[in-house]
This record gives sequence, structure tokens and C-alpha cells, in this order.
Amino acid sequence: MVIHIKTQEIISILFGIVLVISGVYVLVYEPDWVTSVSGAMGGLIGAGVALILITFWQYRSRVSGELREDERDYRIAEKASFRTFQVTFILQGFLFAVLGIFTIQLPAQPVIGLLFAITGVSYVVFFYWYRNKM
Amino acid sequence: MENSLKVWRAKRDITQENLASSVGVTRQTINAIERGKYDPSLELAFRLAGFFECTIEDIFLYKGE
Repeated sequence: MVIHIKTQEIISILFGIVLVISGVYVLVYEPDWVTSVSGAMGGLIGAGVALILITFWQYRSRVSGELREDERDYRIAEKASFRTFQVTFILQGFLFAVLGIFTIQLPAQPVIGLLFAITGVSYVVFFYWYRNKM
Repeated sequence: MENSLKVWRAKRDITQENLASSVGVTRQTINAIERGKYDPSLELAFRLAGFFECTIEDIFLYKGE
């Protein structure tokens, strides 16, 4: 069996493995310089696993020769990305202004985590909305 | 933009799936074009016209504002 894997896919898988190993390292050794072990571990392992799975999915699609996305999908993704940018940009601007006006001090990680989640959810919602519309 | 893609497809008696694979897009895209929900790129319009051996204007009708 011959495996036709691209250099870019190999790099993505290796980078994913490095992220997962880094997450496991943080979990096992709990280094002093890591303030939130669970947050860092979850982020690193989650990102690594996601990167590996996405790479394998793209590899399977390419090898099978089955067309799974085309110009319409790219157009939908383009619109969803732009709307997501608008939502997160406005939200971040609002948050920045509120925190500045009221001089509220918040820990960075939960705020970034919330913005991260809103970005993902916003993109998925807009993507499916445009997919139904177009 | 209006189009008569469904008519052309019926004339040739081919499925959306077959047309989609012939012009290099997904079946969902052909379906969206036929329902008038998606306007194809100029390149895809040319590929469709080439497939049916007609001009773009034979398939697509631009209705200005």
C-alpha cells in the first residue's frame, strides 16, 4: 500500500503531535511557569488533536478523489468569516471600552477563552446560515 | 440572475450529480444554481456553457436592477 502524503500534511501532523506531547508534559510535570495547568493542557491537547484530525480528513478527501468543497463552499466560508470578524471586532471594542471606563481588572485567560468560544460559535452559526441561504 | 440550467439538464437527461462531476463542483452547488440561490463564478458559467455547447447567455439571464 502506497501512502501519498504531502509535505504540508506531514508538517501538520508533526506539529499536532508536538502540541499533544506539550499538553501531556504540562499535565504530568505541572511546571511552575504554568499558572493554569488544566487550561494549558486542554488548549494544547485540543489544538493538537484537532490539527491531526483535520489533516487526516483532508488527506482522505484528497486521496478518495471525491469533491467535498467547491467555489460555493469557499464563498460561504468567506461570508461567514467576514461576519465573524464583524461580531468579534465589535465585541472586543465594546469590552475594551467597558473595561477601560470602569477600570475593571479581569484575569486574561477566561476573557480570551470566552472570545475564543464566541469566535468559533459565531463562525459555525454564520456558516450554516449562509449555507441554507445560498 | 435567472437561469435555465434545469431545462438544459433535462434536455441532456443527466442528473445533478453527473453534471456536477462533469464541471467539477458538488451536487449541492448545481442544486443551488438551479434554485436561483447561488450565482456561479464566471469560470463555472463558462464550464457549464461548454458542457452544454451553448453560450453563457443561453443559460443565464442577467436582470439588471
